[in-house]
Amino acid sequence: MCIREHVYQCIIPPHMLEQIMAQGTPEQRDHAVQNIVAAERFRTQRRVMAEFAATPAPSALISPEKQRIVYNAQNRTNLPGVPVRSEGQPPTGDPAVDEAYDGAGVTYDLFNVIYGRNSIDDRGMRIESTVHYGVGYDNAFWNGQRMVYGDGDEDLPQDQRLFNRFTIAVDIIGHELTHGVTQYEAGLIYRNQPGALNESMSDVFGILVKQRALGQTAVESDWVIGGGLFTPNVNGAGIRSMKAPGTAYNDPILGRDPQPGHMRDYNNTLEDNGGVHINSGIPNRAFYVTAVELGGFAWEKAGRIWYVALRDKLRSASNFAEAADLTWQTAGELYGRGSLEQQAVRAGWAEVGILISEGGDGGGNGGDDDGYQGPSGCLPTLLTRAWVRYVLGR
Amino acid sequence: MRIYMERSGGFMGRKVKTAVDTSALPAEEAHNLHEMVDETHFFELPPVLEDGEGVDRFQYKVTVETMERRHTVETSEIAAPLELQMLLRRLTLLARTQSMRPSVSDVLDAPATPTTPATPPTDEPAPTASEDDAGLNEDTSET
Repeated sequence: MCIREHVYQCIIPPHMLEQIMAQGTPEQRDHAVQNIVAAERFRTQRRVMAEFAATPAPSALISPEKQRIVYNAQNRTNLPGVPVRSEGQPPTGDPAVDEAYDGAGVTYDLFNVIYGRNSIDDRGMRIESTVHYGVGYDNAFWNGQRMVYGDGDEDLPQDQRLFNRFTIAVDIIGHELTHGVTQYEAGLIYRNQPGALNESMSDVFGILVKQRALGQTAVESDWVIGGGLFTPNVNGAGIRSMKAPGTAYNDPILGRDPQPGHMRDYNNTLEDNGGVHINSGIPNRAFYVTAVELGGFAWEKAGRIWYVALRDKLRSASNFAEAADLTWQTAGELYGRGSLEQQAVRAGWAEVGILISEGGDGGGNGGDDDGYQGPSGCLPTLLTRAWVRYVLGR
Repeated sequence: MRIYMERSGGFMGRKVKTAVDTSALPAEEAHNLHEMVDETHFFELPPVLEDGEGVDRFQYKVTVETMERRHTVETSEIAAPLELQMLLRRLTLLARTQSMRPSVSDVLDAPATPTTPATPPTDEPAPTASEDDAGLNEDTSET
Protein backbone atom coordinates (compact mmCIF):
# COMPACT_ATOMS: atom_id res chain seq x y z
CA MET A 1 0.00 0.00 0.00
CA CYS A 2 1.61 3.25 -1.09
CA ILE A 3 1.14 6.59 0.54
CA ARG A 4 0.86 9.76 -1.45
CA GLU A 5 1.07 13.27 -0.22
CA HIS A 6 -2.64 13.63 -0.83
CA VAL A 7 -5.09 12.85 1.95
CA TYR A 8 -6.18 9.60 0.35
CA GLN A 9 -3.94 6.60 -0.11
CA CYS A 10 -2.98 4.56 -3.15
CA ILE A 11 -4.62 1.17 -2.92
CA ILE A 12 -5.20 -2.08 -4.70
CA PRO A 13 -7.69 -1.71 -7.57
CA PRO A 14 -11.30 -2.50 -6.72
CA HIS A 15 -11.58 -5.58 -8.92
CA MET A 16 -8.57 -7.11 -7.21
CA LEU A 17 -10.01 -6.40 -3.79
CA GLU A 18 -13.18 -8.09 -4.92
CA GLN A 19 -11.26 -11.22 -5.86
CA ILE A 20 -9.42 -11.25 -2.55
CA MET A 21 -12.64 -10.90 -0.58
CA ALA A 22 -14.22 -13.74 -2.57
CA GLN A 23 -11.31 -16.15 -2.84
CA GLY A 24 -8.71 -15.23 -0.28
CA THR A 25 -7.75 -16.84 2.99
CA PRO A 26 -8.96 -15.20 6.18
CA GLU A 27 -5.58 -13.49 6.54
CA GLN A 28 -5.68 -12.18 2.99
CA ARG A 29 -9.22 -10.92 3.48
CA ASP A 30 -8.05 -9.32 6.68
CA HIS A 31 -5.39 -7.37 4.83
CA ALA A 32 -7.86 -6.36 2.16
CA VAL A 33 -10.24 -5.07 4.79
CA GLN A 34 -7.53 -3.07 6.49
CA ASN A 35 -6.64 -1.61 3.13
CA ILE A 36 -10.23 -0.59 2.61
CA VAL A 37 -10.61 0.80 6.10
CA ALA A 38 -7.51 2.91 5.61
CA ALA A 39 -8.96 4.33 2.44
CA GLU A 40 -12.53 4.34 3.63
CA ARG A 41 -13.39 7.60 2.01
CA PHE A 42 -12.73 6.20 -1.45
CA ARG A 43 -16.20 5.74 -2.81
CA THR A 44 -15.22 3.04 -5.28
CA GLN A 45 -13.99 0.73 -2.52
CA ARG A 46 -17.12 1.43 -0.50
CA ARG A 47 -19.17 0.41 -3.50
CA VAL A 48 -17.21 -2.83 -3.82
CA MET A 49 -17.78 -3.63 -0.19
CA ALA A 50 -21.48 -2.87 -0.42
CA GLU A 51 -21.88 -5.00 -3.51
CA PHE A 52 -19.87 -7.81 -1.98
CA ALA A 53 -21.94 -7.67 1.17
CA ALA A 54 -25.11 -7.98 -0.88
CA THR A 55 -24.03 -11.27 -2.41
CA PRO A 56 -23.92 -14.56 -0.52
CA ALA A 57 -20.48 -15.12 0.96
CA PRO A 58 -18.75 -18.47 0.79
CA SER A 59 -17.25 -18.14 4.20
CA ALA A 60 -19.11 -19.36 7.24
CA LEU A 61 -17.89 -16.21 8.94
CA ILE A 62 -20.29 -14.20 6.81
CA SER A 63 -23.54 -16.15 6.86
CA PRO A 64 -26.14 -14.03 8.59
CA GLU A 65 -29.29 -15.76 9.66
CA LYS A 66 -32.31 -14.19 11.14
CA GLN A 67 -33.15 -14.94 14.73
CA ARG A 68 -36.66 -14.02 15.72
CA ILE A 69 -38.72 -14.40 18.84
CA VAL A 70 -42.27 -13.31 19.53
CA TYR A 71 -43.74 -12.76 22.98
CA ASN A 72 -47.34 -12.47 24.12
CA ALA A 73 -47.97 -9.68 26.63
CA GLN A 74 -51.41 -11.21 27.29
CA ASN A 75 -53.10 -7.82 27.26
CA ARG A 76 -50.92 -6.51 30.04
CA THR A 77 -48.22 -3.87 29.72
CA ASN A 78 -45.35 -5.80 31.26
CA LEU A 79 -42.57 -6.52 28.80
CA PRO A 80 -41.48 -8.71 27.18
CA GLY A 81 -44.32 -11.07 28.01
CA VAL A 82 -44.45 -14.83 27.51
CA PRO A 83 -42.34 -16.29 24.68
CA VAL A 84 -44.64 -17.98 22.19
CA ARG A 85 -42.71 -18.44 18.95
CA SER A 86 -39.00 -18.72 18.35
CA GLU A 87 -37.02 -18.92 15.14
CA GLY A 88 -37.92 -21.96 13.11
CA GLN A 89 -41.03 -22.85 15.08
CA PRO A 90 -44.24 -23.38 13.12
CA PRO A 91 -47.13 -20.91 12.98
CA THR A 92 -49.11 -20.70 16.19
CA GLY A 93 -52.49 -19.88 14.70
CA ASP A 94 -52.54 -16.57 16.57
CA PRO A 95 -52.58 -14.02 13.73
CA ALA A 96 -50.77 -11.33 15.74
CA VAL A 97 -47.95 -13.70 16.68
CA ASP A 98 -47.57 -15.11 13.19
CA GLU A 99 -47.76 -11.71 11.50
CA ALA A 100 -45.13 -10.30 13.85
CA TYR A 101 -42.93 -13.31 13.11
CA ASP A 102 -43.39 -13.19 9.33
CA GLY A 103 -43.18 -9.41 9.14
CA ALA A 104 -39.92 -9.35 11.06
CA GLY A 105 -38.65 -11.96 8.63
CA VAL A 106 -39.43 -10.07 5.45
CA THR A 107 -38.07 -6.88 6.98
CA TYR A 108 -34.85 -8.65 7.92
CA ASP A 109 -34.70 -10.01 4.37
CA LEU A 110 -35.04 -6.59 2.77
CA PHE A 111 -32.16 -5.22 4.79
CA ASN A 112 -30.04 -8.35 4.44
CA VAL A 113 -30.63 -9.42 0.84
CA ILE A 114 -30.81 -5.96 -0.70
CA TYR A 115 -28.55 -3.91 1.53
CA GLY A 116 -26.33 -6.53 3.12
CA ARG A 117 -27.35 -5.65 6.64
CA ASN A 118 -27.41 -8.37 9.27
CA SER A 119 -30.38 -7.46 11.44
CA ILE A 120 -31.20 -4.31 13.35
CA ASP A 121 -27.70 -3.75 14.69
CA ASP A 122 -25.93 -5.23 11.68
CA ARG A 123 -24.46 -7.84 14.00
CA GLY A 124 -27.19 -10.45 13.91
CA MET A 125 -29.21 -9.09 16.82
CA ARG A 126 -32.20 -11.24 17.67
CA ILE A 127 -35.38 -9.56 16.51
CA GLU A 128 -37.84 -9.43 19.37
CA SER A 129 -41.52 -8.61 19.12
CA THR A 130 -44.29 -8.45 21.69
CA VAL A 131 -47.94 -8.68 20.66
CA HIS A 132 -51.24 -8.27 22.52
CA TYR A 133 -49.83 -5.34 24.46
CA GLY A 134 -52.36 -3.68 26.72
CA VAL A 135 -56.11 -3.49 26.28
CA GLY A 136 -57.56 -1.32 23.58
CA TYR A 137 -54.05 -0.18 22.77
CA ASP A 138 -54.27 1.43 19.36
CA ASN A 139 -50.55 1.70 18.81
CA ALA A 140 -47.23 0.05 18.04
CA PHE A 141 -43.77 1.16 19.09
CA TRP A 142 -40.07 0.37 19.26
CA ASN A 143 -38.80 0.64 22.80
CA GLY A 144 -35.08 0.56 22.06
CA GLN A 145 -34.91 -3.22 22.27
CA ARG A 146 -38.06 -4.69 20.81
CA MET A 147 -41.13 -3.99 18.75
CA VAL A 148 -44.41 -3.88 20.61
CA TYR A 149 -47.87 -4.12 19.07
CA GLY A 150 -51.32 -3.43 20.42
CA ASP A 151 -54.55 -5.07 19.29
CA GLY A 152 -56.23 -1.82 18.29
CA ASP A 153 -59.58 -1.26 20.01
CA GLU A 154 -60.50 -4.92 20.27
CA ASP A 155 -62.40 -4.27 23.48
CA LEU A 156 -65.09 -2.26 21.70
CA PRO A 157 -68.13 -3.70 19.93
CA GLN A 158 -67.41 -4.42 16.30
CA ASP A 159 -69.56 -1.56 15.06
CA GLN A 160 -67.50 0.88 17.12
CA ARG A 161 -64.05 -0.47 16.35
CA LEU A 162 -61.73 1.80 14.43
CA PHE A 163 -58.45 -0.11 14.55
CA ASN A 164 -57.46 -3.67 13.86
CA ARG A 165 -54.39 -5.26 15.40
CA PHE A 166 -51.22 -3.37 14.51
CA THR A 167 -49.40 -6.40 13.10
CA ILE A 168 -51.95 -6.56 10.30
CA ALA A 169 -49.90 -4.24 8.06
CA VAL A 170 -46.41 -5.46 7.21
CA ASP A 171 -45.25 -1.89 6.64
CA ILE A 172 -46.01 -1.12 10.28
CA ILE A 173 -43.72 -3.96 11.28
CA GLY A 174 -41.07 -2.67 8.88
CA HIS A 175 -41.58 0.83 10.28
CA GLU A 176 -40.92 -0.28 13.84
CA LEU A 177 -37.92 -2.43 13.01
CA THR A 178 -36.42 0.46 11.03
CA HIS A 179 -36.54 2.60 14.17
CA GLY A 180 -34.05 0.12 15.51
CA VAL A 181 -31.85 0.43 12.45
CA THR A 182 -31.93 4.22 12.74
CA GLN A 183 -31.03 3.95 16.41
CA TYR A 184 -27.89 2.00 15.48
CA GLU A 185 -27.01 4.23 12.54
CA ALA A 186 -27.73 7.94 12.28
CA GLY A 187 -29.43 8.02 15.67
CA LEU A 188 -31.77 10.78 14.53
CA ILE A 189 -33.02 12.65 17.57
CA TYR A 190 -36.74 12.10 18.02
CA ARG A 191 -37.79 15.71 17.92
CA ASN A 192 -38.60 18.35 15.30
CA GLN A 193 -36.98 17.85 11.90
CA PRO A 194 -34.50 15.13 12.89
CA GLY A 195 -37.43 13.31 14.48
CA ALA A 196 -39.55 13.71 11.38
CA LEU A 197 -36.65 12.29 9.36
CA ASN A 198 -36.49 9.41 11.81
CA GLU A 199 -40.19 8.80 11.25
CA SER A 200 -39.80 9.15 7.51
CA MET A 201 -36.99 6.61 7.39
CA SER A 202 -39.29 4.16 9.12
CA ASP A 203 -42.06 4.83 6.62
CA VAL A 204 -39.62 4.57 3.69
CA PHE A 205 -38.30 1.15 4.64
CA GLY A 206 -41.68 0.08 5.89
CA ILE A 207 -43.24 0.71 2.49
CA LEU A 208 -40.29 -0.93 0.76
CA VAL A 209 -40.88 -4.05 2.83
CA LYS A 210 -44.48 -4.06 1.67
CA GLN A 211 -43.61 -3.37 -1.96
CA ARG A 212 -41.02 -6.13 -2.02
CA ALA A 213 -43.38 -8.58 -0.36
CA LEU A 214 -45.97 -7.81 -3.03
CA GLY A 215 -43.48 -7.54 -5.90
CA GLN A 216 -44.70 -4.02 -6.64
CA THR A 217 -42.84 -1.39 -8.60
CA ALA A 218 -42.79 2.23 -7.47
CA VAL A 219 -45.56 3.01 -9.91
CA GLU A 220 -47.71 0.06 -8.87
CA SER A 221 -47.51 0.74 -5.12
CA ASP A 222 -50.24 2.69 -3.33
CA TRP A 223 -47.60 4.22 -1.03
CA VAL A 224 -50.01 4.01 1.91
CA ILE A 225 -48.68 3.20 5.36
CA GLY A 226 -50.98 1.12 7.53
CA GLY A 227 -53.32 -0.13 4.84
CA GLY A 228 -55.72 -2.59 6.44
CA LEU A 229 -55.25 -1.17 9.90
CA PHE A 230 -58.56 0.66 9.88
CA THR A 231 -61.81 -1.22 10.22
CA PRO A 232 -64.60 -0.61 7.69
CA ASN A 233 -66.01 1.91 10.16
CA VAL A 234 -63.29 4.36 9.17
CA ASN A 235 -63.21 6.50 6.06
CA GLY A 236 -59.57 6.10 5.19
CA ALA A 237 -57.09 4.03 3.21
CA GLY A 238 -54.44 3.99 5.92
CA ILE A 239 -52.44 6.03 8.40
CA ARG A 240 -50.26 8.02 6.02
CA SER A 241 -49.84 8.52 2.30
CA MET A 242 -46.28 9.00 1.12
CA LYS A 243 -47.54 9.82 -2.35
CA ALA A 244 -50.05 12.44 -1.23
CA PRO A 245 -49.53 13.45 2.38
CA GLY A 246 -52.73 14.64 3.99
CA THR A 247 -55.06 12.36 2.04
CA ALA A 248 -54.77 9.03 3.86
CA TYR A 249 -57.96 9.48 5.87
CA ASN A 250 -60.77 11.92 6.46
CA ASP A 251 -63.11 10.55 9.05
CA PRO A 252 -65.78 12.07 11.31
CA ILE A 253 -64.23 10.47 14.39
CA LEU A 254 -60.52 10.29 13.55
CA GLY A 255 -60.43 13.63 11.81
CA ARG A 256 -58.39 14.45 8.75
CA ASP A 257 -54.87 13.27 7.95
CA PRO A 258 -52.78 16.24 9.16
CA GLN A 259 -49.63 15.64 7.14
CA PRO A 260 -48.10 18.36 4.96
CA GLY A 261 -46.43 17.49 1.69
CA HIS A 262 -44.41 20.66 1.25
CA MET A 263 -42.18 22.86 3.38
CA ARG A 264 -44.60 25.76 3.05
CA ASP A 265 -47.02 23.74 5.20
CA TYR A 266 -44.50 22.65 7.81
CA ASN A 267 -46.27 22.45 11.16
CA ASN A 268 -44.35 24.08 14.02
CA THR A 269 -46.39 22.33 16.67
CA LEU A 270 -45.00 21.48 20.09
CA GLU A 271 -47.11 18.33 20.29
CA ASP A 272 -45.97 14.96 19.08
CA ASN A 273 -42.35 15.86 19.91
CA GLY A 274 -42.56 18.72 17.46
CA GLY A 275 -44.81 16.98 14.95
CA VAL A 276 -42.52 14.06 14.08
CA HIS A 277 -45.45 12.01 12.71
CA ILE A 278 -46.88 15.05 10.98
CA ASN A 279 -43.95 16.67 9.22
CA SER A 280 -42.58 13.30 8.12
CA GLY A 281 -44.96 13.76 5.20
CA ILE A 282 -42.46 16.12 3.61
CA PRO A 283 -39.44 13.78 3.36
CA ASN A 284 -41.87 10.93 2.64
CA ARG A 285 -43.06 12.66 -0.48
CA ALA A 286 -39.50 13.50 -1.46
CA PHE A 287 -38.69 9.80 -1.39
CA TYR A 288 -41.84 8.91 -3.31
CA VAL A 289 -41.03 11.38 -6.09
CA THR A 290 -37.44 10.15 -6.27
CA ALA A 291 -38.58 6.54 -6.49
CA VAL A 292 -41.19 7.17 -9.17
CA GLU A 293 -38.73 9.26 -11.20
CA LEU A 294 -36.38 6.30 -11.25
CA GLY A 295 -39.06 3.70 -11.85
CA GLY A 296 -38.66 -0.03 -11.33
CA PHE A 297 -38.49 -1.40 -7.84
CA ALA A 298 -38.05 1.42 -5.38
CA TRP A 299 -35.83 -0.57 -3.02
CA GLU A 300 -33.14 -1.02 -5.66
CA LYS A 301 -32.00 2.54 -6.25
CA ALA A 302 -34.00 5.08 -4.25
CA GLY A 303 -34.00 2.74 -1.26
CA ARG A 304 -30.30 2.08 -1.59
CA ILE A 305 -29.54 5.80 -1.66
CA TRP A 306 -31.65 6.40 1.40
CA TYR A 307 -30.16 3.40 3.22
CA VAL A 308 -26.56 4.38 2.56
CA ALA A 309 -27.31 7.96 3.59
CA LEU A 310 -28.92 6.71 6.82
CA ARG A 311 -26.04 4.39 7.52
CA ASP A 312 -23.11 6.58 6.55
CA LYS A 313 -24.00 10.23 6.31
CA LEU A 314 -26.95 11.43 8.31
CA ARG A 315 -26.19 12.72 11.79
CA SER A 316 -28.33 12.72 14.88
CA ALA A 317 -29.34 16.36 14.43
CA SER A 318 -29.68 16.36 10.65
CA ASN A 319 -32.54 18.45 9.37
CA PHE A 320 -34.45 18.20 6.10
CA ALA A 321 -32.02 20.40 4.17
CA GLU A 322 -29.08 18.30 5.29
CA ALA A 323 -30.90 15.11 4.45
CA ALA A 324 -31.53 16.47 0.97
CA ASP A 325 -27.88 17.33 0.47
CA LEU A 326 -26.66 14.06 1.91
CA THR A 327 -29.00 11.85 -0.12
CA TRP A 328 -28.01 13.83 -3.21
CA GLN A 329 -24.32 13.31 -2.42
CA THR A 330 -24.91 9.63 -1.76
CA ALA A 331 -26.62 9.27 -5.11
CA GLY A 332 -23.61 10.89 -6.75
CA GLU A 333 -21.23 8.53 -5.01
CA LEU A 334 -23.25 5.44 -5.80
CA TYR A 335 -24.28 6.24 -9.35
CA GLY A 336 -22.07 9.09 -10.50
CA ARG A 337 -22.17 12.84 -10.47
CA GLY A 338 -24.90 14.14 -12.72
CA SER A 339 -26.42 10.67 -13.00
CA LEU A 340 -30.13 10.14 -13.50
CA GLU A 341 -30.26 8.83 -9.96
CA GLN A 342 -28.74 11.98 -8.57
CA GLN A 343 -31.08 14.11 -10.65
CA ALA A 344 -34.05 12.15 -9.35
CA VAL A 345 -33.03 12.86 -5.76
CA ARG A 346 -32.76 16.55 -6.57
CA ALA A 347 -36.20 16.45 -8.16
CA GLY A 348 -37.68 14.64 -5.16
CA TRP A 349 -36.56 17.25 -2.67
CA ALA A 350 -37.38 20.13 -5.01
CA GLU A 351 -40.92 18.82 -5.17
CA VAL A 352 -41.31 19.44 -1.44
CA GLY A 353 -39.63 22.83 -1.52
CA ILE A 354 -36.07 21.93 -0.58
CA LEU A 355 -33.21 22.80 -2.90
CA ILE A 356 -29.92 20.97 -2.90
CA SER A 357 -27.00 23.19 -1.88
CA GLU A 358 -24.64 21.89 -4.51
CA GLY A 359 -21.02 21.59 -3.54
CA GLY A 360 -21.83 21.32 0.14
CA ASP A 361 -21.07 17.91 1.56
CA GLY A 362 -21.41 18.58 5.26
CA GLY A 363 -17.65 19.06 5.36
CA GLY A 364 -17.49 22.18 3.26
CA ASN A 365 -15.64 20.55 0.35
CA GLY A 366 -16.67 20.24 -3.23
CA GLY A 367 -16.03 17.30 -5.47
CA ASP A 368 -12.59 16.75 -6.91
CA ASP A 369 -11.46 15.22 -10.18
CA ASP A 370 -12.47 11.68 -9.38
CA GLY A 371 -15.56 12.61 -7.42
CA TYR A 372 -14.04 12.40 -3.99
CA GLN A 373 -16.30 14.44 -1.82
CA GLY A 374 -13.97 15.31 1.00
CA PRO A 375 -14.18 14.40 4.65
CA SER A 376 -17.62 13.40 5.67
CA GLY A 377 -17.15 11.68 8.96
CA CYS A 378 -18.71 8.52 7.51
CA LEU A 379 -18.42 5.16 9.14
CA PRO A 380 -16.99 2.24 7.19
CA THR A 381 -19.38 0.12 5.16
CA LEU A 382 -21.36 -2.49 6.99
CA LEU A 383 -19.15 -5.33 6.04
CA THR A 384 -16.00 -3.41 6.77
CA ARG A 385 -17.30 -2.62 10.24
CA ALA A 386 -18.19 -6.22 10.83
CA TRP A 387 -14.73 -7.26 9.76
CA VAL A 388 -13.03 -4.59 11.82
CA ARG A 389 -14.96 -5.69 14.88
CA TYR A 390 -14.08 -9.28 14.18
CA VAL A 391 -10.42 -8.51 13.50
CA LEU A 392 -10.06 -6.25 16.51
CA GLY A 393 -12.01 -8.64 18.67
CA ARG A 394 -14.75 -6.12 19.61
CA MET B 1 -64.29 17.36 39.28
CA ARG B 2 -63.40 18.00 35.65
CA ILE B 3 -60.64 16.16 33.90
CA TYR B 4 -59.26 17.14 30.52
CA MET B 5 -56.91 15.01 28.53
CA GLU B 6 -55.07 15.54 25.28
CA ARG B 7 -53.11 12.74 23.68
CA SER B 8 -50.68 13.19 20.81
CA GLY B 9 -47.94 11.10 19.27
CA GLY B 10 -48.21 7.36 18.85
CA PHE B 11 -47.66 5.59 15.57
CA MET B 12 -50.46 7.51 13.96
CA GLY B 13 -49.58 10.85 15.51
CA ARG B 14 -53.19 11.92 15.81
CA LYS B 15 -54.51 14.20 18.48
CA VAL B 16 -57.18 12.90 20.84
CA LYS B 17 -59.00 15.20 23.26
CA THR B 18 -61.54 14.44 25.91
CA ALA B 19 -63.18 16.17 28.81
CA VAL B 20 -64.90 14.44 31.70
CA ASP B 21 -67.20 15.97 34.26
CA THR B 22 -67.49 13.42 37.03
CA SER B 23 -70.77 14.85 38.20
CA ALA B 24 -72.25 13.72 34.90
CA LEU B 25 -71.09 10.14 35.35
CA PRO B 26 -72.86 7.30 37.12
CA ALA B 27 -72.04 7.47 40.82
CA GLU B 28 -69.85 4.39 40.92
CA GLU B 29 -67.83 5.44 37.93
CA ALA B 30 -67.41 8.95 39.29
CA HIS B 31 -66.23 7.52 42.59
CA ASN B 32 -63.72 5.26 40.85
CA LEU B 33 -62.37 8.16 38.87
CA HIS B 34 -62.01 10.33 41.97
CA GLU B 35 -60.12 7.51 43.65
CA MET B 36 -57.82 7.05 40.68
CA VAL B 37 -57.02 10.76 40.68
CA ASP B 38 -56.34 10.65 44.42
CA GLU B 39 -54.00 7.72 44.02
CA THR B 40 -51.88 9.66 41.55
CA HIS B 41 -51.44 12.50 44.07
CA PHE B 42 -52.13 14.53 41.00
CA PHE B 43 -51.81 18.00 42.48
CA GLU B 44 -48.34 17.16 43.80
CA LEU B 45 -47.03 15.86 40.49
CA PRO B 46 -44.55 18.08 38.66
CA PRO B 47 -46.01 19.85 35.63
CA VAL B 48 -43.76 17.90 33.28
CA LEU B 49 -42.73 14.27 33.62
CA GLU B 50 -40.04 13.24 31.23
CA ASP B 51 -38.23 9.99 30.59
CA GLY B 52 -36.76 9.96 27.12
CA GLU B 53 -38.68 10.63 23.97
CA GLY B 54 -40.40 7.30 23.43
CA VAL B 55 -40.44 6.40 19.77
CA ASP B 56 -44.06 6.09 18.62
CA ARG B 57 -45.27 6.44 22.22
CA PHE B 58 -48.20 8.55 23.29
CA GLN B 59 -47.74 12.00 24.83
CA TYR B 60 -50.36 13.23 27.29
CA LYS B 61 -51.44 16.53 28.75
CA VAL B 62 -53.90 16.12 31.63
CA THR B 63 -55.68 18.83 33.59
CA VAL B 64 -57.68 18.17 36.73
CA GLU B 65 -59.94 20.88 38.03
CA THR B 66 -61.88 20.99 41.26
CA MET B 67 -63.69 23.79 42.99
CA GLU B 68 -60.48 24.72 44.81
CA ARG B 69 -57.69 24.20 42.35
CA ARG B 70 -56.53 23.30 38.87
CA HIS B 71 -53.34 21.53 37.83
CA THR B 72 -51.87 20.32 34.54
CA VAL B 73 -49.36 17.54 33.99
CA GLU B 74 -47.60 16.72 30.75
CA THR B 75 -46.14 13.27 30.42
CA SER B 76 -45.17 10.59 27.95
CA GLU B 77 -46.56 7.12 28.14
CA ILE B 78 -43.27 5.93 29.57
CA ALA B 79 -42.72 8.62 32.16
CA ALA B 80 -46.11 8.36 33.81
CA PRO B 81 -46.08 6.59 37.18
CA LEU B 82 -48.20 3.44 37.36
CA GLU B 83 -51.18 5.13 39.01
CA LEU B 84 -51.18 7.90 36.41
CA GLN B 85 -50.92 5.32 33.62
CA MET B 86 -54.07 3.68 34.96
CA LEU B 87 -55.86 7.02 35.01
CA LEU B 88 -54.74 7.75 31.45
CA ARG B 89 -55.99 4.39 30.26
CA ARG B 90 -59.32 5.04 31.90
CA LEU B 91 -59.57 8.46 30.31
CA THR B 92 -58.65 7.04 26.91
CA LEU B 93 -61.44 4.53 27.22
CA LEU B 94 -63.84 7.26 28.20
CA ALA B 95 -62.66 9.30 25.23
CA ARG B 96 -63.86 6.56 22.97
CA THR B 97 -67.25 6.11 24.53
CA GLN B 98 -68.21 9.29 26.32
CA SER B 99 -69.78 12.46 24.97
CA MET B 100 -69.31 15.75 26.81
CA ARG B 101 -70.54 19.28 27.22
CA PRO B 102 -69.42 22.10 26.90
CA SER B 103 -66.97 22.15 23.99
CA VAL B 104 -63.56 20.92 24.97
CA SER B 105 -61.57 23.87 23.66
CA ASP B 106 -63.69 26.39 25.58
CA VAL B 107 -63.05 24.68 28.86
CA LEU B 108 -59.38 24.02 28.21
CA ASP B 109 -58.74 27.68 27.50
CA ALA B 110 -60.57 28.91 30.58
CA PRO B 111 -58.46 30.82 33.15
CA ALA B 112 -57.31 28.87 36.19
CA THR B 113 -59.93 30.04 38.69
CA PRO B 114 -62.10 28.05 41.06
CA THR B 115 -64.95 26.56 39.14
CA THR B 116 -68.66 26.70 39.78
CA PRO B 117 -70.47 23.41 40.31
CA ALA B 118 -71.13 21.61 37.01
CA THR B 119 -74.56 22.10 35.51
CA PRO B 120 -76.78 19.05 35.43
CA PRO B 121 -77.09 17.28 32.06
CA THR B 122 -79.72 18.63 29.71
CA ASP B 123 -81.82 16.88 27.16
CA GLU B 124 -80.16 18.46 24.16
CA PRO B 125 -77.81 16.26 22.14
CA ALA B 126 -74.21 16.58 23.19
CA PRO B 127 -71.36 17.09 20.75
CA THR B 128 -68.87 14.23 20.53
CA ALA B 129 -65.91 15.32 22.55
CA SER B 130 -63.58 12.45 21.93
CA GLU B 131 -61.74 13.35 18.74
CA ASP B 132 -60.13 16.39 17.36
CA ASP B 133 -61.47 17.18 13.92
CA ALA B 134 -58.83 18.63 11.86
CA GLY B 135 -56.66 20.48 14.27
CA LEU B 136 -53.96 20.77 11.65
CA ASN B 137 -52.54 23.94 13.06
CA GLU B 138 -54.36 23.91 16.34
CA ASP B 139 -51.82 23.93 19.08
CA THR B 140 -53.11 24.13 22.58
CA SER B 141 -49.67 23.92 24.09
CA GLU B 142 -48.29 27.04 25.63
CA THR B 143 -45.72 28.75 23.49
